[in-house]
Parts: sequence; structure tokens; C-alpha cells
Amino acid sequence: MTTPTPVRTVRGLAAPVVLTLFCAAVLVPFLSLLLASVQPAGTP
Amino acid sequence: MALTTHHPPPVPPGPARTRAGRHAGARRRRRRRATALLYVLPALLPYTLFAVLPALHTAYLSLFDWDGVTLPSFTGFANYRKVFSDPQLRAAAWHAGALVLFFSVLPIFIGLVSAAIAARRSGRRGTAAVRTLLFLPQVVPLVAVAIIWRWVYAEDGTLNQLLRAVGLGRFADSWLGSFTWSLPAVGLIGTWVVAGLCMVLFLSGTQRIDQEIYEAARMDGAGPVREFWSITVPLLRPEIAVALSITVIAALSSFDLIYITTGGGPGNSTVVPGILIYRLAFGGGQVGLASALAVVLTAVISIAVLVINRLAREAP
Repeated sequence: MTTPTPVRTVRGLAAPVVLTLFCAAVLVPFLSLLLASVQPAGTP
Repeated sequence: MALTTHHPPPVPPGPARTRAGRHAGARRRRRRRATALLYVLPALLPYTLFAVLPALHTAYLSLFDWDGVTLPSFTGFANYRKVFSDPQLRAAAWHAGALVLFFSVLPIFIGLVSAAIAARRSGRRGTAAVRTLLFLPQVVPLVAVAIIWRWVYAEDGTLNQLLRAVGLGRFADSWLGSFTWSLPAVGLIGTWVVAGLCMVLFLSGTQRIDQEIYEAARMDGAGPVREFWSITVPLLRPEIAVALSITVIAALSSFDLIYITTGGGPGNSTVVPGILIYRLAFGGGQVGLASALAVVLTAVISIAVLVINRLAREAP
């Protein structure tokens, strides 16, 4: 007997997409800080 | 070893016994109250010295016209009349009200959605990491947060670079220097900071909700959205009240974030009561008016928190 493969519907993807968006929004300022910190001194 | 038992002395019968008993009871109560006071004293003393007395002194100063240097002159409630009539002070109150939307309403909504999703996906790979990540802004000092976001919002900052990268360069702006966008820009920083705290509060609340309720709803055909509005939100009412209280206080008493990002500008477009109190007391030489504004702000925050708690208790 074979077990049915779970199918990912668009609705099933909504939750991970929302969480990813929230995480991206949180991460962007930190990444910007990281980028600013690796720039050589005097670079705008 | 012989054990001795202590017998209480025989109590005289009649009215004398009642009087003696009453005296002993009163003495016991007094001693218990004194002991309780002694336990509370280590906390009560510094609280009175550093919180209650300065607050009372501020209320006292609000009745005077004082520049902070020369002798103060008594003016009664004139400072309070000015607080309610001065257009700049009223504008600051409006800005604080707008910040409530960004510091309270938006983070609570984001916190509820993320908590509901995280609770449904608990145990799955990555959920714990997401939880930690969303809470991260809360552990960064507000001064550092303000400096980070100044870089993000700068003319050549991350936000404008992102907009240019996706072909939306015409929308790029000097966000913190714009009369239109500076207040929402500062407010969104508040949303970024507070949303994680709300999520953690709501996540702890979701642990309390019986899973059978969700299962029953699913058997009745409820989807995730219906579950969210009909089960998660109503059952998280106590946590929502706590989050609302914390965030409304943060919005109305905001100072450091705005002081570092915009300083109240451009013009007065991001001036809030906290900034105005600082400006009036330490820059404008109007200590009395600043004190009156501080007293009014304290009263408004206290009333707001009381109303939120009352509504949370009374709601069905």
C-alpha cells in the first residue's frame, strides 16, 4: 500500500510566505547595519 | 527527654475575657501590619524617593512660572490652560495619537497573525528560529535601533536603494526629512520594535487555548482565517489587553526614538509630548509649562491604561 504524497496548495503556502515576509522585514535593517559596518571608512 | 506542652493561661469568663481577647487580636493585627510594612519597606522607600516625590514635585512646579534659574512665581492653573489651548501642544497630542496606530494597532495585528501561524506550525523545522528572529528587535537598545533606521531611511539608504533596484526609484524620498512621511516613518520603527514582543505575548497565550476547540472548529469546516477570528483572537483577550497597555504607554511616552531620528522635525511634524517637555524644560526655560504637560501626559496615560483594563475585564 502506498501512502499519498502531500500536495502543497497555494493556501498551504500562505503561512510560510507570511512568516518569511515578517522575517525579511525584521532582517533588512540588521543587514543594512552589517553592510554599513563593512564599508571602508569615508565611503558614503 | 520529657516533652512539655504549653497550656494557655485560663481566661477569665464574662466581659473581661471578651475585652482581653479584643485587645490581643488588635495587638496581633498591628504587629502583622508592621511586619508587612517592614517587608515592603526596601522597595517602598526608593520608590517613594525616586518616583513619588519627584512626581509630586513636578505637579507642584506646574503651578508656577519658572525659567529654571530665577525665583518662580505662582500662576495657579495658567500652565494647564496653556496646555489645552496652545496649537503646538495640541499638534503634539495628535502626533502621539497617530503613533498609537503604529506602536499598538499594527504590532498587535502582526503579533496576532505571526503567533497564530507559529502556534499552528509549532514543532516544525524553523519555527523556533522565526520566533527568535521576530523577537530580536526587542533586545536591541532603542538608541541603536534609531541609528540603524536613520541609515535605512537616508537618501542613499537601504530603503531607497531597494526601491531603485526594483524600478520604483521615483518613489525614493528623504523619508525622515519629509513633512508627509516622517511621522509614518518613525511610527514604522516602533512597529518593527514592538511587533516581536506582541508575538511572544500572544504565543504564550495560545499555549493556554485548548486544542480541542480548534479540532471542533475544523470538524465544523472552519479554515485558518475563521479559526483566527473566532477562536484565537477572542481567547487571547487578556494578552491583547496587556499588549495594548504596554504599547499605548510606549506610544504616548515615546521620546528617545524620535529625539535621535528626527528631533521632532522637520518643522514640528514629528513633535510628541515627550520631545516638547524636554524642549520646554531644558531649551525654552518654561519649566512650569513643561511640568504641566508632564502631569497631563501622565494622567492621559493612566486613564488610557485604566480604560483598556476595564474594557478587557468587561468584554463578554
